Amino acid sequence: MKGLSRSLRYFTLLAGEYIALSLVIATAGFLLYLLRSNGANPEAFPIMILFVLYLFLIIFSMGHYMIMTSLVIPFNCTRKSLFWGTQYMMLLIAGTICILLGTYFGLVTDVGLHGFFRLLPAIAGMFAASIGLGALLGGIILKFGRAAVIVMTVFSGILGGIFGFCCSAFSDAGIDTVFMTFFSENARWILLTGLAVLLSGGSINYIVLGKSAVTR
Amino acid sequence: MSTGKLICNDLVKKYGKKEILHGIDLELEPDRIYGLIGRNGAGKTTLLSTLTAQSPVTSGTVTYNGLPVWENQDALDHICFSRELNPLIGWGANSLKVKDYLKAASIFFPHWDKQLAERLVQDFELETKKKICKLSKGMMSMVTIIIALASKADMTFLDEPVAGLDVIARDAFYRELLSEYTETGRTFLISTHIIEEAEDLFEETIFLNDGRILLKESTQALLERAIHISGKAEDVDAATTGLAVYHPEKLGRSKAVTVLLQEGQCIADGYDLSSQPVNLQNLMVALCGPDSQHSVPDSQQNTPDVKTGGRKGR
Repeated sequence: MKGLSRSLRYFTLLAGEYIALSLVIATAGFLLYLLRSNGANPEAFPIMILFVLYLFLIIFSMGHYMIMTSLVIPFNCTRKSLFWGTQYMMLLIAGTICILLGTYFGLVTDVGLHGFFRLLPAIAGMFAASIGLGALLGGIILKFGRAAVIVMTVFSGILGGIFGFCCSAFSDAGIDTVFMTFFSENARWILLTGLAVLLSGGSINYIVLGKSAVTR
Repeated sequence: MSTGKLICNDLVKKYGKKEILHGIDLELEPDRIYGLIGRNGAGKTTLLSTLTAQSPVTSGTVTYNGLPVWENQDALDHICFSRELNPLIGWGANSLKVKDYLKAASIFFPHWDKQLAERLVQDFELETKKKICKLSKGMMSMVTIIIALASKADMTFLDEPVAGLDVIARDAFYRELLSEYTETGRTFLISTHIIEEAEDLFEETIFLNDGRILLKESTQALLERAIHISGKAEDVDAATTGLAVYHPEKLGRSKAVTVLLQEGQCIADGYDLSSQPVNLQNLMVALCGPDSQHSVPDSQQNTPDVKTGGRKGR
């Protein structure tokens, strides 16, 4: 437990930095959104920002394992503590974003907290899926090393492409509202799918991480 | 003073199908400074990695004070392996600033000495706001030294700690190490290629050659029984008959060899020979160099002191 408590302490510090980074991304996204749309639609904004944050979490979670394995294991952190510390850090980041979003919904939008809670399972599910996908890709990187960087690059390109295409293709149809409706109508299923992705991605990562060696 | 022993039994490490370490048996006592010597690719870093659970073993066991070290926080809390930092890698731990790197170390090492770390940073004039990958090779070595010394771990392993350091910094490191050793009785195992400088530090020397422990012995005793002999080839051959002879060099009718005497042995009298003591560096060349072919009398093979290749059946 003492190893885990050190790990939690370190990852709490890191989480603070990454939450700050997420806020910068969200603020930049909000300003861009205001510039792009003729008059802000405060209810649609969170969905677009969330997508950016999901992408960020995938890439961040993936890169995190690459960095931390070569950093904290040489400092005698066990692989188990690294894994659980990472999950805890992701939970902190996702939790903080959800709290900030809830505050935003409650203070700025007409749907208020009631609308936010209707969306919350879907938002949480998407966070779980992002973290799980990041863990899966992180595991692939740990297992296959440099070759996995190519996978990472291709994957990032594909995700960015799909996201960009969707936004541009449906921009006239009000993509943000479409997403919002989809999220609220399928919240339960999105949550369950997200948890399944988190469980499978996390398990694969746990197995790979448990046998990984420090390389640097 | 530390009390635990680090013991590895029949340690085998493979990368893919290639076996790097071939059944290593090693026991590290508390309150010692060990030198780990071997050629590039001999398996030194791999051995240190597996001893400290930074790399999984293929087979065999590693224990500290009777506890397995793999994924065992109780054992790991007494161990520190300060790895050499690679200047060619710009990601991972190398992408951190020095201060963040030291901060992380201070959280994970339970006996971290913050004051010592801060003093060493000042002594080495290290720029803590710089990213590790932007440091010079010497400065990277300083970071690994600071981690190793400030960790206060009972068993501390250093891999090439003085690589890239100038002579003043190397001198400072040797003094710090000795002072730390005298004060705390920690065990240090230092892998280095700058043998001539460090040999006075080593109480025991471990020679690693081609993934096998060739020798593990008190440095003083080892150097006392190692002799470089030169003279006419026939005289040298006659005088060293029955002795463990390494690294024969011929120049015309002259010959020079390095001899490792066993207890009770001596060079035969009555020959016109020149004999000189051997330093650790020359002994390594004799034992591990490309011309290190040696003849060992049958009676001495596989004695505890001279492990000649060991485990050939593997």
